[in-house]
Amino acid sequence: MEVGQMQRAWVEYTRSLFREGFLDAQFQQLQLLQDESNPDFVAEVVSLFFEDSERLLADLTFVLEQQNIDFKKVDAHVHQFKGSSSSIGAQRVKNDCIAFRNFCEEQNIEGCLRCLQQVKQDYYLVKSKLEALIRLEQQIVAAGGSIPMEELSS
Amino acid sequence: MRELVEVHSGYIYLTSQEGYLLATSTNAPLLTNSSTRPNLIMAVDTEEPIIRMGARWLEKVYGNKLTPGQIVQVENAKLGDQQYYIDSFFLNLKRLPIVGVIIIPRRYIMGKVDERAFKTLVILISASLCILVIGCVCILILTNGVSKEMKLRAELISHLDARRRAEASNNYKSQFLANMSHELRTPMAAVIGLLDILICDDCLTNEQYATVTQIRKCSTALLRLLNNILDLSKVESGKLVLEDAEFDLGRELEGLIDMFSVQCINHNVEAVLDLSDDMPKLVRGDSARVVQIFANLISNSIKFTTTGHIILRGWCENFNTFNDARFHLDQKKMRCAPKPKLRQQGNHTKKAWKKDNKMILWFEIDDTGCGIDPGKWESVFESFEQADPSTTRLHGGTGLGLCIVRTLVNKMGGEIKVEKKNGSGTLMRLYLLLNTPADGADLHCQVDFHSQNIVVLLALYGSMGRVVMSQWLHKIGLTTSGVSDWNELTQVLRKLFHARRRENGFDVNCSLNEPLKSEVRNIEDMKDPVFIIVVDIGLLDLSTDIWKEQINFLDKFSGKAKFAWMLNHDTSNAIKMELRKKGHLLMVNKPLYKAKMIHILETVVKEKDLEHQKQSPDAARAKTKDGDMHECLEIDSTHFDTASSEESDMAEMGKSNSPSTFHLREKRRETEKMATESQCQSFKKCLVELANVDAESREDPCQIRPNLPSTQYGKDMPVCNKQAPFSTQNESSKHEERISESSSHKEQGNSYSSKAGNLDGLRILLAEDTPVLQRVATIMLEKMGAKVIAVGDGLQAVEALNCIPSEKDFKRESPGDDGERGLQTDIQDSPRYDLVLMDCQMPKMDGYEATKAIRKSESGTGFHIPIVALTAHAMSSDEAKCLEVGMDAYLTKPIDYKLMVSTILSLTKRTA
Repeated sequence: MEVGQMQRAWVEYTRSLFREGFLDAQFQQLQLLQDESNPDFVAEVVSLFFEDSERLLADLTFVLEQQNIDFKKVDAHVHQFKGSSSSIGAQRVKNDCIAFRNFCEEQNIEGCLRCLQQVKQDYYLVKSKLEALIRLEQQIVAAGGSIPMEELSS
Repeated sequence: MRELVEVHSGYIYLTSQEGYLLATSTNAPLLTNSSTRPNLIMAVDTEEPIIRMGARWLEKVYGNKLTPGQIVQVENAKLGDQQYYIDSFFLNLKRLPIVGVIIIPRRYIMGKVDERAFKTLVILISASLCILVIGCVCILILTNGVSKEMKLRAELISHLDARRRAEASNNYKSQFLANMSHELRTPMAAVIGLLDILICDDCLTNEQYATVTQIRKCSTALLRLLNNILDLSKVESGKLVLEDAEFDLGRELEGLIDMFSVQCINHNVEAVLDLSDDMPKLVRGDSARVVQIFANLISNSIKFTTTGHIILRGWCENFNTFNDARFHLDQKKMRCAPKPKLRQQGNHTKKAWKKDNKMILWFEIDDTGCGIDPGKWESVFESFEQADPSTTRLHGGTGLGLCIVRTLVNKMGGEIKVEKKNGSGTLMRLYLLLNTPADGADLHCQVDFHSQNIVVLLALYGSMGRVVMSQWLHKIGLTTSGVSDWNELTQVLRKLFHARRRENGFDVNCSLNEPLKSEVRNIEDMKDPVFIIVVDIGLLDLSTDIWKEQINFLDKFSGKAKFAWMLNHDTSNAIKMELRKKGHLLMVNKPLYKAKMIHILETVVKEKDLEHQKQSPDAARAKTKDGDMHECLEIDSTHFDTASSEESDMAEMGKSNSPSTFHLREKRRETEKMATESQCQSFKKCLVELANVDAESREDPCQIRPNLPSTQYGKDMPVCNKQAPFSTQNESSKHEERISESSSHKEQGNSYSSKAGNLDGLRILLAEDTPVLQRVATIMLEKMGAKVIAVGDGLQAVEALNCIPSEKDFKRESPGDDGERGLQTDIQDSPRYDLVLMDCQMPKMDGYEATKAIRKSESGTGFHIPIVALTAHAMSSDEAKCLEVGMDAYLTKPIDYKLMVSTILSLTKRTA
């Protein structure tokens, strides 16, 4: 594909992500922070997010498998996950986390387990989407073009 | 009955009730002969006309109803052509009621009145009309007069009003200008500073360099103009306040002459300073303004003098002698406050006035220029007056200088005027009334070299300077002689030093002129004197290489005499090296004036003493060190212009930051520091090194300038952060690190271009455990120019901040301290971080705990580092909790970066 096409594809894809609620304005802010001095900012942050999230999810799963669930710990983890997902703009994940926390407070094990599933689902979804986006960006850059951030604001 | 009424020719008749005539006063028959028998006639039918008419009239008016008892009284019944009184009466007899009527013509009763009545009426009417008319006329006149007066009054008022408004607007303008002075000067100073930087740039082509230099000259000229105008307006608006501080007048004037000497030399004009010895060393007054006066006068002289000399003479007079001489004559001329004081002081002068003595200091500026036309001697002091209209074209200038000078002189209790002089040129004489502090024993140290056996040979080009100097040297007891060119010098030298051996004596003798011969003879008579030879570098032939030969020639005498060299500001390093190699270490800059001469003499004497193995007291050393500093000062001539209004402005702001005097003092301090800290044990070395410093600073004007901007702008423009780049060039910068860091952060490009560098120089500690957030926030803040240290939990945050107290000890070793060198004392006062971003939920120690701990550790000191909370909860209870533990603000996650930036800015500006 030639650069123009790829750029258009990128724009369209990003817009769709926003439309479908996978990402929110926070992600846009991150995109704006990226420039010549920080060319891989978004990719960096995203990969950090992935790492962090994997860890958190693993922890959560572990804690919820216990006999005596330590809801405080669960709460702490979910809180963290909520924080990082909101700062990257992963909207769906964040909303799931909010619900998750409510169940935590109620100490509702069923609810928590269900939420965990939901969160995981949404997380993997957004992960794949973001990975695709980053790949597209890398392709554009490799082809010598630049990422048309400004088109997003239109 | 006739008789009754005959007098008034009236009529009376009686009738019966029916109206039958019974009797009349006339002869008219009463009976008619009718057919049957005689009948009575009715009154209305009687022959007598009047009665008939009367009766008919009555009948007409009253009818036949003459009832009994009715009485009629009519005053003017018209019967025929006359008016009659008609009166009726009733005789109520039993059997025959009778009505009687009297008819009398009115004429006889009211006749005269009737006549007159009309006339009177007419008269009355006409009279009243007249009066009315006259009244109207009077009123008109009156109102006219009044209205005129009112109009005049109104005009007067409006005139007064207009004048008041005009004056007010004039005042406003002056006030506005005076207030604006700082505003107007700041951009100019910035322009000049930036041009300086540009000039120092290595990568300029010749053309660019020339252009930039030209721009700089124009900017300085503009600034000078601006200062002049502002000065004037400031004086006019009454805002000029004279400082009252002690300063060394001699030194200031010497510095001034130094400054101007460069210009003078370029013009081939000699600048001579001749202050009498009894001038007080310290005076009280506004040093900047005094210097400004002389600067203006001397610069005028330089402008108009193409050859010859400019002499600044000074002497003083005691107040009471002045008083007696001038008190009565010049009373009216004393324009300012001293006047009432004069009367008092005239009585109390010599008494022990413990506080201050007033001295009259006279000064003269004598130049050999083109002179001022005698007719214009008064008017040159007016504003915007120049003696010759073509002056502006030829020499530039605004014509404000003398006006300002006069105003300042008057303010200081003195007067200035142009005096007559013999020869061409201008002689301006002025006197100032200044206080000297009570410890008046501090007059010029009477230097007495009588005891020393010193001979001074002055080999200077400028005849005036030489003459003045030799006169003074005579006065203080030295034998002196002078020569003006190289040949004479060689001859005299040969004569003097070979005199003992009597070689070649003859040849040499003949070529000396008379006065010189006698001087030489005098010298020869002295016993083993110390020879000091002051040589002007101009005596050496610098255009070819002969000067080396000349120096070699002088080597012959180096053992017998001490050579002191007068150097130009642009004497090349090579020459200085050469001189130094030959052992000539005494080098001073032109012009030569007393202080330098004294210094030379003292140095020589001290050296002699040293050679005689005497210990020289440290005090003297220090003093001569001061002298060293002073003489080696070289102020770049382009900066003297700005000596003036800025200074008093700064003085008003409580700091004397004026460029010229500030630089003088600052450089003195700096050179002193350098001298005392890093240098000399012996005088020779001291002089050499200072000469080095001097040489370098003169050689490389570029280097001087960053010095000046940093010290000048550092204090002048704390606001203008854009000046930051200057300081990084300078090693002894006194700027806070924030500014030096900003220059390095400026390279970071960013998309928030409008906010670029907003957080310049801020050190932010970020305590956040979520890696994503940590990373994002770090990048965000670094984009804005801040320096971010990130830690992962509250414990680390507290530890990071607790390093502060020990900062003081580890100032130089701590890694984070970049941008600091040496003299910064500021870092000791400010904490390592400017702000803390604290996440509330963290492992090990959460944000609240950490804040509590930090605040606790701060409780002893005066610090209060701003802490901003980052919390995911957004409820008011959280806000309260944050504030309770001592946080200053809070932001909710996810972070709105704009809000974060503005919060940070508001918090750090407060503490800054």
